[in-house]
Amino acid sequence: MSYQLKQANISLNKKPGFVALVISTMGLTLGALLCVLTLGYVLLYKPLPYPDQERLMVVDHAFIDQTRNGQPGKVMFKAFTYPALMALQNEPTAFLETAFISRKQGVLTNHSALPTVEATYVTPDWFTLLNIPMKFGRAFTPSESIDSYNPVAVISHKSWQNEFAATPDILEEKVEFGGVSFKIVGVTAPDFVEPQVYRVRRQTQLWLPWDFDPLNEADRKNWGRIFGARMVGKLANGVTPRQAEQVITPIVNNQWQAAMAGNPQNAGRSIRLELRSFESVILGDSAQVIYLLLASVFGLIVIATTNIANLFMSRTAQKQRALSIQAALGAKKRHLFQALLAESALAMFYSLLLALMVSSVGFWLLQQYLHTLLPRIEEVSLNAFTLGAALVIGSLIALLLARLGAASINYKALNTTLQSSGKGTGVQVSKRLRQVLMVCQVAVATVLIFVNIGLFKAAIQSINTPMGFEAKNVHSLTLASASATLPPANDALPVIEQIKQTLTALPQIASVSHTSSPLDTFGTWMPGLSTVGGNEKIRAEYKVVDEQYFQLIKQSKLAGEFFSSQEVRDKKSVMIVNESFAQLFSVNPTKPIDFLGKKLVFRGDKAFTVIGVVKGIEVPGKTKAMPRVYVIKRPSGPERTRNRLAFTIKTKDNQSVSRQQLVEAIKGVSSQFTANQWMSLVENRHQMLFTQYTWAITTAVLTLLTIILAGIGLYGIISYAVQMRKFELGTRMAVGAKRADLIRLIITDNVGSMLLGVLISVITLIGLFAASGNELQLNITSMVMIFILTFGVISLVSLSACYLPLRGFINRPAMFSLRNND
Amino acid sequence: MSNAVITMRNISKIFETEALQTHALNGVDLTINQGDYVSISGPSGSGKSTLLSLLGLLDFPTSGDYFIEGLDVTKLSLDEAAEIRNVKIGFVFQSFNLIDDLTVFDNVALPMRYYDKKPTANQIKQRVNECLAMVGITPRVSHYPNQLSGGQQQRIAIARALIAKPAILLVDEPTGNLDSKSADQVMDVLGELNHQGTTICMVTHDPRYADMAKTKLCLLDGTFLKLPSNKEIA
Ligand SMILES: Nc1ncnc2c1ncn2[C@@H]1O[C@H](COP(=O)(O)OP(=O)(O)O)[C@@H](O)[C@H]1O
Ligand SMILES: [Mg+2]
Repeated sequence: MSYQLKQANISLNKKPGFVALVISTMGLTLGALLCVLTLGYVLLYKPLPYPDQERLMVVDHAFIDQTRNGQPGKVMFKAFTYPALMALQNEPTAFLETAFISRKQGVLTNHSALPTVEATYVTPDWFTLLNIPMKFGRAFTPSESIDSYNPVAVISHKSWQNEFAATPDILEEKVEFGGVSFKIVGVTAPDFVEPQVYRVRRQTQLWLPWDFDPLNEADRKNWGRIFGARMVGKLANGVTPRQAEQVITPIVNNQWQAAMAGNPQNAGRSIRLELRSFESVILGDSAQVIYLLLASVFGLIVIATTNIANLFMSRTAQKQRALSIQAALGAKKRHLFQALLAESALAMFYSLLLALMVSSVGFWLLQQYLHTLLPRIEEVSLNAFTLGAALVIGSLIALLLARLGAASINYKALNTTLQSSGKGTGVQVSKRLRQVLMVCQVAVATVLIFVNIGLFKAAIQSINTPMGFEAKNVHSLTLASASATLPPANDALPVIEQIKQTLTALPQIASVSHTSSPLDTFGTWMPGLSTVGGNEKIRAEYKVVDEQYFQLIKQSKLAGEFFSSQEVRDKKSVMIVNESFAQLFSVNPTKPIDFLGKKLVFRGDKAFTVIGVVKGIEVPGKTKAMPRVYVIKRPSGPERTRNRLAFTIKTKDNQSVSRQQLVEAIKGVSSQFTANQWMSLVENRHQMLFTQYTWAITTAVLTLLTIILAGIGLYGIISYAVQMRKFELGTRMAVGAKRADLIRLIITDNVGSMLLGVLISVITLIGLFAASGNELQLNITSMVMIFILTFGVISLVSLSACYLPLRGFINRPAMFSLRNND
Repeated sequence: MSNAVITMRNISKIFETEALQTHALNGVDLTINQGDYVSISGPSGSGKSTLLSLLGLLDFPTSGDYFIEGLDVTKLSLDEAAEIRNVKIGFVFQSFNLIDDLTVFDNVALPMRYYDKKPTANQIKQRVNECLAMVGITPRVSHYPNQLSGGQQQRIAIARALIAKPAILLVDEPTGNLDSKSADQVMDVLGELNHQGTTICMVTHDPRYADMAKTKLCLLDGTFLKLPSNKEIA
């Protein structure tokens, strides 16, 4: 075999162009495959890097409404209550170990740069559950268990480098956060991979003991919902998630029912605890992304392999003479196959080397650009699994290439080749085989192009959807409190009003609204609104706004009035609704007639008078405008300081303000608050559209790659066929065929295979849609449009592939094609 | 001059390859009249095939003037040349150049498929049968070329060349790939065709066959040696 390899090497060296084409095509596509395969392996298959990871569970606390019309047992919302957490704290049968976590973004107030950091409040079990490795110091221990109030902190390795300049004396330092000073007792190791329980791009910089979570503070005593809190646990040996649910649900539900007894509002409701594996929580809906990428690169591999197969077969045909001589000297079919295999194996070996390089670049790109989109990206690197997979795929392709090459040798005819001086026919890529290759290429390419254009269109549509307000020069600002507990609204609101005045007075600032960003989530209004006497409750999202808000962001008014300063000062029960809300009441948003002035009732006693209708805003990346209402004060309950810490601010044209400047300005008003997050809405919008941008780029690249590869492949196949027909073309020219006649001839010859390919792709696509239920969310018209576009692209590629190889013959005098140039 | 089918004046053809220039034809003058039977002979490499390809508009001269039936064909576009080849020129190749995938019938009918005015199936059938009759092959129309002997193939190629009633039949060493019996048959067909009025220009280096022509020309290094024609002798 080593002799064969040596011969193969010599033979390949003689054809650098051929070798370069094979290696670049296979190297690039195999590299892409390796990348996606590794990603898939890490996300879908590789265990999480935590002990007993398969037993790690996230517990969801769901409120169930048994009485809801038509949908009994429906989950109303999922959020823990503090007493429920406490009830589960030392649950002995379902879980071996449990931990609570909660999150908060805030400012390190004793740090000179006043950086905004992501903090996570955890019970000490969080560290043992995940077996978090430490670089310095210690993790949390029982000395930080619930109700110990021990003010210590652990910081992340990144934070140690970024915020503390990697000082070796870090364990001497303190951090002040939320009005409490914490002594740093540990730094996590750089190789710790944080499970991203909340969302993909969130990375904790600061871990604090659970006791200091200010959100819990207010809710400790009652059964109010606390949205940020999560419970995680490790299942006890031999306990299944369903069994665990059955054990812990009654513990919480019984206590809750007892506590709620006599409260008619909660009649027919109950609590259900649901377990989700850590894996599924962290994976989220990334699996779909992976499957799509996998399907795409496999498609590319098929196209590339087809291309290369054609190249190999044509090349074998070119070696007619050499093969004939070998046959004459006694080489058996098997020997010829071995020689071909040596060549294809060598070519695939080089391709794999290139693929490894390509995939390393791919991993780097993934880590640079996709870490905010996909979880566990930092774990992505070459490993035995992907290497093995690449080797297997490479070997299979090498084998296939050699087989196809051997299949094109007519061994019996080889012996006659040497004797007859004419055009030999001992080796030829059969017409049938070429047609199969072509059908294959067209089918795979059409499916890939269709799906990718569909995804591209969806992404671009999201990106291009106008938001319905002007984000230019508009920013959001949130305040952080300098103390552990927030002052009550009565004390805080005058101070916040003063801050607003001070900010308004800054020379760079055009106007300030004491309202959270339009891109912020809205509140949900339960159980809903109805007209007086009506009993249909209409659910809507709500936002508390002031008189500057609509003008500041230029949200357009369709009818009625905006809030006046007078109404805001008097906290009037008035309401502005958006278009889709008005439509729920069958009201024409631009001519609401008697809808304006109508009272909408919330929970029997509270009524709001509708005074205006505005056009809805579209939150980037979300599909549709929700029914929404705008009010001056919260619909129920007292004002809470924590709901009133956000501003929307417009700067003057060509003026900018830094967070530092705002920090200074606010310092002048009060030491109670400081600037927390300051972000331009344009920037915010880009962040929210990150997924869409990524999809747009990925799908565009995949579409282009497909077109290029399929184009090269079809060109190669047809070009070979045209070469084989050189004399025929010349003869046809000699008897009077014009250029158009010959182009028509070649097209007619190939159109059948191409249409068959398209037909197969249509069937495949219909099958895909039937199986996956229209993931692309396309309606029939856009499907038809995209199909027409895809068909157009494929036709163009195919027609070019027909024309280009012909060009060299039909644009020359006929003699050129008739000449025997051996 | 009025019945000149072919008029070539001072035709030269130079082939340029990377390394060298080949002067295949040097200022050739040639006139072929209606009903003539011209043979061109000469040693290998003397430019016979080149001349024939220029005559057949399969290639273009480097310089000189060329008229077919009085029409200047020196500066035609590729498609215009194709049209003239289609209706005015019949070409017979040494290696037959029949298309393997087409039946005998379709091979013979091929030029008709490229007519500007599409003939009907009946017209095609009639004309194909006429031409096959002229070359002495009537049955076997649904055979494929490789099922026939070389001589039969060459006669089919002649039938194909005749299909459009061309002004001239250009024949390049028609017997080069044939045994002597088949070759004689082919030459008989050509003689008979000329007898019936077809103008023929044939390249051959077989003196026996050259002698069958009315006008004998000899090429050497791209120029004609002056020889007396049979007509003059007669
Ligand atoms: N396409 C070409 N490129 C370069 N040289 C050519 C080409 N065709 C013919 N020749 C040269 O022109 C000369 C005449 O060739 P040709 O007409 O084929 O001669 P003949 O048919 O008499 O043997 C020869 O020297 C030949 O090598
Ligand atoms: Mg010749």
